[in-house]
Amino acid sequence: MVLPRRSTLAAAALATFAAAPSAFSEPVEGTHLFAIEVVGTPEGLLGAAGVRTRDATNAELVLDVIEHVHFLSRSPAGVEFYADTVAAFLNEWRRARRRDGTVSLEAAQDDSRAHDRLEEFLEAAGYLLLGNSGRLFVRPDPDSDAKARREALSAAGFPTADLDTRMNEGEAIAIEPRSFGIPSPLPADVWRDAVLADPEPGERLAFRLLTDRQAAFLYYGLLSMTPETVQFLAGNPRLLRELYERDAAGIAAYGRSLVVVNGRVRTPGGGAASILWQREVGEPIDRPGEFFKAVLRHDNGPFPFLYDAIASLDAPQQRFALGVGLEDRRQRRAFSRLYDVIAANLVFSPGTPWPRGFPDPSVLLSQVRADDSGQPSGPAWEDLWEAALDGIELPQNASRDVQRADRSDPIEASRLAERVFQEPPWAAARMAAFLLAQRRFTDVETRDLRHVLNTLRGFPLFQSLVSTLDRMGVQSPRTYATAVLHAASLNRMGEPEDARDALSQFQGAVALLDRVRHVRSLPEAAAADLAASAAAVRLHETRGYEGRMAGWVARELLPALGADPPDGDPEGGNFTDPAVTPGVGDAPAPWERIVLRALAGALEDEGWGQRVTTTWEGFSYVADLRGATLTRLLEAREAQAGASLDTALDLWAVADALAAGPETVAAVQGLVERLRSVATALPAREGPVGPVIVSHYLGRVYSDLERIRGPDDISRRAPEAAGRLLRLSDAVLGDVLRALVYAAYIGDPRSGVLGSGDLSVRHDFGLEVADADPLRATAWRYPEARTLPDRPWYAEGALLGLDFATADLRLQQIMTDRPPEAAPLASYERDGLAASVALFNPFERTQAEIDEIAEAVGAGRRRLDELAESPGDALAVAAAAGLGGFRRSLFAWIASRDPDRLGDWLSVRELLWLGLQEAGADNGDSGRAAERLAGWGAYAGRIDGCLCLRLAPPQMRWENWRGRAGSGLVAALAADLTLWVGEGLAVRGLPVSLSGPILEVAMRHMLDRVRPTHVQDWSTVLRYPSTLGEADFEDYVSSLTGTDFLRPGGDPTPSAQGAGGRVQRIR
Amino acid sequence: MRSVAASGSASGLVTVLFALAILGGPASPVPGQEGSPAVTFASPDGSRAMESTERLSVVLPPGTEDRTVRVLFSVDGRRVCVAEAAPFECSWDFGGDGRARVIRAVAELDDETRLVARVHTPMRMSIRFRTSVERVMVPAVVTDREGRYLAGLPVERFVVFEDGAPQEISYFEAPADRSQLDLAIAIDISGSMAPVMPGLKTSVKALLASLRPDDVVTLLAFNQRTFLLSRQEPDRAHLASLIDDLQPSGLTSLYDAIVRALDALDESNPRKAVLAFTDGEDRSSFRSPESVEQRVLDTGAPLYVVTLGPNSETDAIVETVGHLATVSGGQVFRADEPDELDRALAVFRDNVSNAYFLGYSPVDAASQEAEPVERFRQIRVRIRNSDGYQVRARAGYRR
Repeated sequence: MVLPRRSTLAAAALATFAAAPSAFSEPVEGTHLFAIEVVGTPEGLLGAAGVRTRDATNAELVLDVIEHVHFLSRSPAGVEFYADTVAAFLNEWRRARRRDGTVSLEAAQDDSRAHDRLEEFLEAAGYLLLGNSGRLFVRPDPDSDAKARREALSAAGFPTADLDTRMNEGEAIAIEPRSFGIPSPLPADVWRDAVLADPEPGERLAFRLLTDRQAAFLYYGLLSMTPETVQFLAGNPRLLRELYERDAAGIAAYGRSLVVVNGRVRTPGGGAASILWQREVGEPIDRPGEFFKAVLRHDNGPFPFLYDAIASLDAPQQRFALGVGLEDRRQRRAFSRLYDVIAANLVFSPGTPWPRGFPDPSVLLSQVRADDSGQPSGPAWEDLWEAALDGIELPQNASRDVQRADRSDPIEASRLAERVFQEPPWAAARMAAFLLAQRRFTDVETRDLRHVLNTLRGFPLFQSLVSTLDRMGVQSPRTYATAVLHAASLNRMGEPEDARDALSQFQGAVALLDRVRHVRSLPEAAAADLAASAAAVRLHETRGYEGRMAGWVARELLPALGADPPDGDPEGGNFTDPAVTPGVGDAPAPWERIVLRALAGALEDEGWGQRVTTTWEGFSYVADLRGATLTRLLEAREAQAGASLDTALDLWAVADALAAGPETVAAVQGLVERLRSVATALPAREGPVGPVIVSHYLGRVYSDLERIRGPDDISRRAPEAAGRLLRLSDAVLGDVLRALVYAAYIGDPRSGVLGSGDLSVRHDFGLEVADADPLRATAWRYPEARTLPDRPWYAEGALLGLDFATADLRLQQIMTDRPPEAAPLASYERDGLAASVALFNPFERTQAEIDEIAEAVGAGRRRLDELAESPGDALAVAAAAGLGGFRRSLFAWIASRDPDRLGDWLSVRELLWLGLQEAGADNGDSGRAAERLAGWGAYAGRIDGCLCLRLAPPQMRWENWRGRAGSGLVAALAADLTLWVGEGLAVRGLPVSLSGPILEVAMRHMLDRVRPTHVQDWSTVLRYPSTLGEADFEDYVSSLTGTDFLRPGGDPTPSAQGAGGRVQRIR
Repeated sequence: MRSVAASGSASGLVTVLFALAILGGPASPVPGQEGSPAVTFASPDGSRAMESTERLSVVLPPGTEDRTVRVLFSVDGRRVCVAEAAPFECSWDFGGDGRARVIRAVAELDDETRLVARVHTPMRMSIRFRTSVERVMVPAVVTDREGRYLAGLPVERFVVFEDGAPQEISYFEAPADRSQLDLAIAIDISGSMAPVMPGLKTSVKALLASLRPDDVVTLLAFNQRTFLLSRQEPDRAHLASLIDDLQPSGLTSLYDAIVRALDALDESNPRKAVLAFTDGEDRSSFRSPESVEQRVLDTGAPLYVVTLGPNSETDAIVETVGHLATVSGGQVFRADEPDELDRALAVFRDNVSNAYFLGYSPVDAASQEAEPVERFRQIRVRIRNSDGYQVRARAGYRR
């Protein structure tokens, strides 16, 4: 017998399958959803759909199946085979079973009718009924289809794997079919009668919903709608049928934004925008069915996308996007222009809900800050932005370009989007420039507009520089502009070697300032002033800095870090902590030591800078973030084996003295002696300033100086020698600054990353490829780790933002004895998650913050516990947690059916928002909490270009970015691990200074273990920390006990709180 | 002639140790477990510094041994081994730096209870004297004109030259006297290995089965990271199960893996080798080939590399890694087709089985002490009265 692919027999079998009623017309208690039974097991269904991993009890399994069948593999064949196999098996079993409900060989031995039916039953189960000397026996059918049937039935929970053995041993086989319920927005009879117009019975329905593409899309979309909207549709069978036939993909993608309230459409932007929408849609809002169809069919693409995108914005953004408040004709024109920009930049496949491109104008609209009236904050003048978004080169005359700009109107959303996206390759950078202006130039004065213009125009070219200044907290437009203009002069340097030395010095200087500000060794204002002065150092476009940057280091940087200038006694630096870290060679030279100590963080009376004792697992430890950071720096510098800062400055001092013109031959000879002494400290290791270069320069300098025999020779030969020596001094200083930046960002040197020496000598600014990069954009781009055949690891790009390139290196692996399974996260997502750790700043985090996090997350958990008693509150609780669309529906389903799972099902960020809402924090203003706890957020630079962390507010959901797989956007929301660490520290009474090192361990573990089921399965990634347990946290903390972050010692104070203990400060 | 004492490679340091108990403490149960039975460390007990290979073991509370699923041991926060059967112990090489250590054991019971024990071991205070005598170990394989192995040559037939100067052989181990082999196997598990992985697993397990029972194997897997799966492990079944679990993913950091494999070898055992399998060029190592060469020369272990393919990168790998193998006294094998893999491993096995080990103390060792600059010292091994014999041996070392 050949089994039919979709046998009517199978349908009939399911029709008579009496394990469950055919339809459920009442919603599941406490929800607006209906249960539809699926024959088999969740595991069997997931396997048939090709879903690789997933907790099979998860309520999202149906969505996973739809995702796999219709979005990824685009074939329902696996599920169809599974459904047909199960159906045929049940049918044949019903035909073959005896009155006692069993089948057996004995019963078929002498009964030809029973024999035939048993044979067909066994064939449906993947077995053969054979006879030998009149005795019947069962054997597995070797045919591959039969094997597949056996596997499918086993997965479906039928006890058929050893059917042959059991029957051959004489067992009478009984079959107990299994089934499970899935959530449905519509009752089964509505699906059957209204949507599918199919007489097939209820039990077949679930498979039909999963395998019928249109039905699957409709199911998906309806699940995302509000109960009232679904109720409205369910009451309009013809409309439902129409949506199923023509608009299912649109419903899947945009259904969440189609909302009915009191029988009318609630349009995005509120009442003020409803006239606009009715006019554009061409249908009144009191005819929701016609309105929805018109939205979805408007142009088969961009229009519903725009509708949905605007619906996803907060109210002020909606007003800005829709031009609420504009005069009518102008508003219509603006809307039309916005539509055109959306249409021109939308990546979209007709007939499918996804995918999407990135970036697109909707992302810009979602990031703009606007006030309640819909006006964008910051310098919003249209004339300024017309000038700022006009070309990618610096303006010839910035003052002229912005003359009277502050008298122009605020730029409209449509015009902004049009200008930002007029050149797609630069769109992301321009978007970031606009958002930078909103962050930093809110109160800009008219006289500074030219600086703002230079900054904004320079942003796409020098993004790493401008963003680093932004991260440092620089407010002054003048400082930004000076730096941008300085960068432009650096780009005009001709020779790649000269450019490299100069770039290393300038970028190195700014990167060090960024770092010392980051670790709070310098206040923001002081760092900003120093950045301004560094950018003002004069640069010669062929001769470089000629020692002037070294002068800046000596005369401005070092004193700011607490040292006497090098002209004084080098041993007289202001060291207050003379301890030399054990096990790290000789103490570094004095000036370098000052810089390293500043890079390790300031000593403070309060906050992270304290060394504190704490107890862990019964032992007393000293938590010492600063000390551990200093140890890492010292070890890294030792492994780098390069020149010290002191050597670079000594070299400069000789060159500077030579350039100043020694008055006597004896003075020259004295300088030669000093130079020879300094030269012995120059390292012999290979690199940009290797022994060959050094000896080349020094040889010529010595030669010049040795020829000075009388006063007349001094004026003739000393300047030339000084020039050469200054070039060498520039190169060595560049080398040193670059190495110091690497030392600060390389992570744990003991992890082996410095096994072959100094990675900084491999740094590639991209200067050698002039043809491919005429703008030298690479040298100012965020650096990236490169892996090429047979070229060891190196970073390419700017030195600024090096924490990006080294982000992965800083993650610490505690499980070194087993490789992780293949990691399916896209590289952008992995990089984004790692970047969140790289940008996390434990030096700025406070105990009060983790206490607030712990309190809020705890309150969120308690609210979930209460929900078990009152599942009817589920939708309200879901809204408080920031859930929307289908997740809100599924939350209600789980709250009703399996409330114990809710804690795992929400992400930590969602629990936080739920707790804050419950506590009435900030009067419900999530923006204030998001700002206050931003340091516990995630890297969102792919969206806003900022080198910072953001705690995404509750309304920013991953569903908003759906369809943009591999874009790195999920990382922008993934604050959950960081929050989990903060909560864990607080509840165990551990010091907040451990947060950074624990994150380094926890994130590596997460990247190795998290298993999304498919590229769009962001919820698994975001919820991963919710699945971590006590043992994980213990392992992470314990991993630090072998490091200086948590050093054995101190006063063993018994713990009052289990494994942890309250911190005690050490003076 | 056979010398009893065998020092390491070219390091030649004698270390005098003084244990100084600064931070050590007895093993103790963990607070928070007061209601639970206590697990404690049997070894170490926290009274002395850890160095070289030490046993890690715990005493489980009465009645929990049968319920213990596994014990995880970590040193300084990094998991170093998992003991999955009684007596729940393992060994770990702490190296020679004598640092204070934090050692932790977590016993996982069948009801998911975790019992934690921790011990702190003290820092060692050490004074190091450089000895005036050092021994350089040279593994050598000798073949005749037809490529047949010559395993029965007496020490008198060997002449070792360093920088052209003949040396007195003070240690000699013939193939027939073969002592325990310390073999490090590094398997590339990068994503591109997927097609060849099943065959490779079969062949490597067959190789393991063919080693002598007392040989020990250090097993590493590497992609862009290196994982030390076992260290000096004699249990073939355990090794086979570790190999079966390997799943391809990621990039290839061959150089980093080679160095890690060399680091994992027992310094005191002269008979050691590294065998690496890869199918592609190094794409993500932190180590440069030059730094790997230096490490190879320092260690003195022959490096064997099997390239699996064929693919467009095979020639490039053979070229880049071939030099490393040659200077180490090892060899590169190409296994473009599946059946060539087993042939390559047969040759490897023969090389290991037929290797001589020669040791000498450089005649100018004293003058080496005085040389301020480290440099490469060439080694050459010649067979007296040979008729076209070929010798494959370590090419030199840096000092």
